[in-house]
Amino acid sequence: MVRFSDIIKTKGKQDDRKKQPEPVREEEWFRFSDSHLFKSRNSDIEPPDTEPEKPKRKVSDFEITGYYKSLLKRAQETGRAVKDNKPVVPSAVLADLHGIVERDLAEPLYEYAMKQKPDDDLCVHTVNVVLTSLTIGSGLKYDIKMMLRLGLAAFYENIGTYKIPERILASSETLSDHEMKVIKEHSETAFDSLLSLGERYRWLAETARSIHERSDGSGYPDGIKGDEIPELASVIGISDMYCAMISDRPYRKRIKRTDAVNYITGEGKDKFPSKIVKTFIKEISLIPVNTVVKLNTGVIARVISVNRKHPLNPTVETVYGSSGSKPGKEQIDLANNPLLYIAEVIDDPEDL
Amino acid sequence: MTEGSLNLKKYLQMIEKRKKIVIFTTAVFLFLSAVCVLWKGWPALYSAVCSIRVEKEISYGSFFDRALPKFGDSIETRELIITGYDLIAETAKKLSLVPPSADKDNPELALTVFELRKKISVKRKKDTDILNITVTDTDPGFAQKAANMLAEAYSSYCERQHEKQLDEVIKYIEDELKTAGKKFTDSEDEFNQFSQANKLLSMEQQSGNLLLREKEVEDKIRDDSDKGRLQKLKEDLNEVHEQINSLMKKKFRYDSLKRTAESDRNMVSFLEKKKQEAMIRKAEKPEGVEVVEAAALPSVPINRSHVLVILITGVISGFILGIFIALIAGINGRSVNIPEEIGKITDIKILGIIPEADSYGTVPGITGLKGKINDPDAAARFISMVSHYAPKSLAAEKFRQLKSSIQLTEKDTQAKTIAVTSSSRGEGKSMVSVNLALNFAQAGIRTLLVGSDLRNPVFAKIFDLEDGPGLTDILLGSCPWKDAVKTVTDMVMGKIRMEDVMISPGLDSLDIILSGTLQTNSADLIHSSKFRDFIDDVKKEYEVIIFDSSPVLITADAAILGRYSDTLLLVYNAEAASKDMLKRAISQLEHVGINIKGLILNKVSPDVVSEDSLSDSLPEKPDESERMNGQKEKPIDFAAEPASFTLDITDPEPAAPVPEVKKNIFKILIPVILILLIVFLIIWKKEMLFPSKGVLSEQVTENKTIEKSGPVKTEIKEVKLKEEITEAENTEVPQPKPVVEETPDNIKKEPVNTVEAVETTEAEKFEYQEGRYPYSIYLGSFKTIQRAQKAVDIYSRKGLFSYPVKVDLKEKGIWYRIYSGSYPDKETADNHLAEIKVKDAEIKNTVYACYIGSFRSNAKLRENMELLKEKNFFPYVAADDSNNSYALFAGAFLTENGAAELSEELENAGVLNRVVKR
Repeated sequence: MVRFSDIIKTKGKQDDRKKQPEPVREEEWFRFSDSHLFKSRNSDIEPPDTEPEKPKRKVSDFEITGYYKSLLKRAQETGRAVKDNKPVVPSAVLADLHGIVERDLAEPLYEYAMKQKPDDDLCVHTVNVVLTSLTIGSGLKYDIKMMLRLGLAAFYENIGTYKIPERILASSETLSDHEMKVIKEHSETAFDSLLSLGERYRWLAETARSIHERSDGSGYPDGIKGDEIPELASVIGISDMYCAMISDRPYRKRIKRTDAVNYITGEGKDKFPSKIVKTFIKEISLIPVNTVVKLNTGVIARVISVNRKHPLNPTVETVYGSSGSKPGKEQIDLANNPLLYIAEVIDDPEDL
Repeated sequence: MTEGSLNLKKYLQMIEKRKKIVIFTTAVFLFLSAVCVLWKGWPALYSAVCSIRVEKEISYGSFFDRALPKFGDSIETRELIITGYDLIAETAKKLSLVPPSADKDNPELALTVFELRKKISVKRKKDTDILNITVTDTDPGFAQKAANMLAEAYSSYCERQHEKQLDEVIKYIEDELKTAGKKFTDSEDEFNQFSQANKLLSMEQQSGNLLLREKEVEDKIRDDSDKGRLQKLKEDLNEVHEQINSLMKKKFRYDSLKRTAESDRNMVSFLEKKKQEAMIRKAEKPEGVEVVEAAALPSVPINRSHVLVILITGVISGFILGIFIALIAGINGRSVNIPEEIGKITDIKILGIIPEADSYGTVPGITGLKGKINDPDAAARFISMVSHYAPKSLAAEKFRQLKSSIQLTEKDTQAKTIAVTSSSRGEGKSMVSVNLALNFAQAGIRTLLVGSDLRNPVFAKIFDLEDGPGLTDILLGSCPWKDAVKTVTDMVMGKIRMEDVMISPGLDSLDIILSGTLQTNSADLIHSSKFRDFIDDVKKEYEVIIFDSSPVLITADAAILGRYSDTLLLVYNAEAASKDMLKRAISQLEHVGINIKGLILNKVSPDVVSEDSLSDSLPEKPDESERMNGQKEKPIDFAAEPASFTLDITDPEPAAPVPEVKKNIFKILIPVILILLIVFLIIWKKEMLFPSKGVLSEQVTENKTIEKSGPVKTEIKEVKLKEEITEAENTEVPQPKPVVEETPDNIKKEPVNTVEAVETTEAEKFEYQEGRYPYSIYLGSFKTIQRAQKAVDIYSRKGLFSYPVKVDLKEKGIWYRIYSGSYPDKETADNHLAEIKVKDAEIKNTVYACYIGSFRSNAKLRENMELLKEKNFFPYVAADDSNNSYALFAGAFLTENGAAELSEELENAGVLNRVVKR
């Protein structure tokens, strides 16, 4: 049971740390928490055979919003720091991530984030990528250390972007070659920034650098292929791609979530290792959270949580009744109602 | 449902169902006939008709009727005359097809005439004296001109003939008149002389006087009794009697002379009258020929209808053949699929009847298949997953029924394991298991489909799944079974896209375990205890587990699976497997104590399925999802829908053989069609080549021979072949002429009524001087005529005309010598011998030959030659340019005896000839 006080405590602690940066202590904590949590986690995961659906903890909305806002705040801070050419401070982020991972909040947070209004703000995007990556990471059964690394790398994935001039990012025109080059440079900018954190964080810098690499060698900056790309980079890369597709950009409208998934499993299939893609589909599901669907009864409903065993039968919340009336928000688990099924995917929720 | 008999409606259904075949064959035949028409070119032909009226016979009065053979020709003869060589040659000259200076034997002329004659036909209009001259040509103007020219030529020919004949008649009358006049003068003179000499002024008076005197003397004798005077009186009486007698004699003579003179006079006057008549007739225009209707310019080609007829024939025959094939295919396909027949073999319950692929392949615009029809894989997938892609199709409906009946029979058990097998490959068991699984999944039942047919894994292909660990790997322990499970997530990684997934619900309830890595000992794996454990494991997770088992007759897997599973279903496709195989499969399973729960008939023709009484007997349990849908529409019977495209892939198994029956039909059909085609082509070719080329070359060789033979002087005594020849030669052979006597006082004649045929002055020109061509080239000898003929053929192909000659060498038997040519001297022969370059050829002095006749006309010559050849003689020709004639010979002999023998033979065959020194 997670208590609210815990969160407050953690937050308070992190706040303290931030005021008096002590990188050495940070690392000790990091290492400590690492080994500690690894053990405890291990015993939890061990019997996969039975694999009962992870006992769904009752997660309070307050907990979720708290973490979400905290992450958003960290992202904004980082953005400012990068723009001002100040060193980034991973410790605070790590603290948040630790809390999320330990409490298994990645998925509810991801669901929460997906329900937010799509925003092309960089910080929102960063948070989305972090949460999506973490969700995939849990699907890949990463241990806590990997999860933290994944989250951290996802968080810093696009710090290079903050240095890109506003006008280029906001441009709805086709970018010139030079501008394209500037954008593509952001991977290396991030790499340089993160290298400044020291040799301990070299993996972070390298991962961040490879986010835009693709398995088929079509990515940048180095155009490396297949196994040369760190796995974490692929996970973050696929998340980044997905999150970018489902949000509006100055130069294009967002894409339907199901279509984005379809794209990634189809044309995008060769850009990422198939293991990652599979996990992606499994976790994000074929009908991702917040997709508005029409049931075979004619009822319009919104997907509120996916079912990994029955990707086509998620839990939905009714929006409109079959006759157009607006019933009370009723939650239906389609997997338990075999006679109900999704007849049609309508679109993203904002139209409603 | 099936009374064994087919009514008309069924036949129509059959044809309708296979109308593609009908359309196809019709199209093919239409195409072929069109190709033929185009190939032959088929120029438009125009025909012009010129009608002429002819009198059947022209009478020249009773006198000539008796004196001459029929003057006017019969209509038939006229037809022949019109198409005769001379008239056509004349027409050809008038049409300036050949230079007007070309003489009769010009080979070019002969060729042109030959070509032209083919275009001309002469027909008598029934029961009239009207002849229609029809000319057919590609050029309408030419046809018209030629028809009119020919009519004109015939008309002028008739005039000439008329004039010529009348001239002859007049000449004859004049001659006759001369004779008669002379005779009359003679007889009159004689009469006058006689009466003068005998002083015969008046016979009556003289005889009266004598009779008076006789009476006087007799009276005197009666009155006088004096003996002496009596004596004298008696003498006087005798004298008177004598005088009377002599007068009587003179009178007879007188009368005779008088009669002769009178008759001669009558003759003369008669002849003069006739002469007048003939002169008048000559002055008249001959009535013989009259152009009734000149040929008009033809505007409509006559053969357009031919083209149409050919095309229509093509279409009709194609259509009929198509219907025939469709019926055969229909009856064939039907007879084996009747569930009743299965009922005779076994009493295992038939749980389901699945229609053949075509019936659900014919779904226009099914969701998810749009734009994928061209992709054969997608099409195959569509067929294999018909319950998913076309949940309302007849096939899907049948699968749903099958699912329901299985569910109902297996009420008690919680987890159901179903094994699907068949007697042999290609019966569609994989498809059945896939669709069965899909139907369970659609009902929200957690279903696992296991590809336990290890030798022939197909699921990866059907669902387009990435190859990965599968059943073999699980059984070998190299992979936990949960890792091998493929879900809808894996499907969307392949060609089944999201939109495909969304067509029907429930795909996420279906999990699949592939066959896995192919192992050589894969059969043993099924037998292992690990398999048992595996089944127990998955039973905990899934409500329904479906095994796609390898065929019964191929492995024992099915037996083992049958033991482990609750339900064993046997798929039977009558088109792919014989009933014997089914029987064997059943007995094999029953032998090991396995209970077959049901039979599933696959690929049954839809008309059987739709009238399937089975559905009535089944406890009806409408599908839940269907009910939820609130869709009350009946499942679409796709069999009744028009075919929009065909999918032939029913069974995705790669080794699936073409259904036997279909194969057989094709086996028969393809050669039949090929043979028809070939025959057609051959007929076509022959028709095309034969008339034009074959004859042409023949003619050329003949002309050559004639040219080669060199100068010949011929003499003709009797040119009389058979009657046929004479008739055919109407224009050439001279009409028998009236007798011309140079010494009129020589012969005394009764009134003339017979005419003898003697050679005319014209014929004398053809005289053949003997001994002009004594030399021939001897090419060789053969024992039989067949071999000799063969040799002649071979020589003629080399362009050397030769002729066999039969010689009787007594002890050595009969031999056939082959000679070539006829030469005036040794040198000419030598030159030619060097030219022809035939081995062992030598020059012989063949003096004797049978002379048949001489001809001026090339055409006639050829006709006669043909005639002789028909009678198995071998004529040859020697040309004579001094008088433009050809002498026709047969045989060439060193001795006169040999020639005489041949002459006799010819004579026996009705050919007049004589032995000459050549």
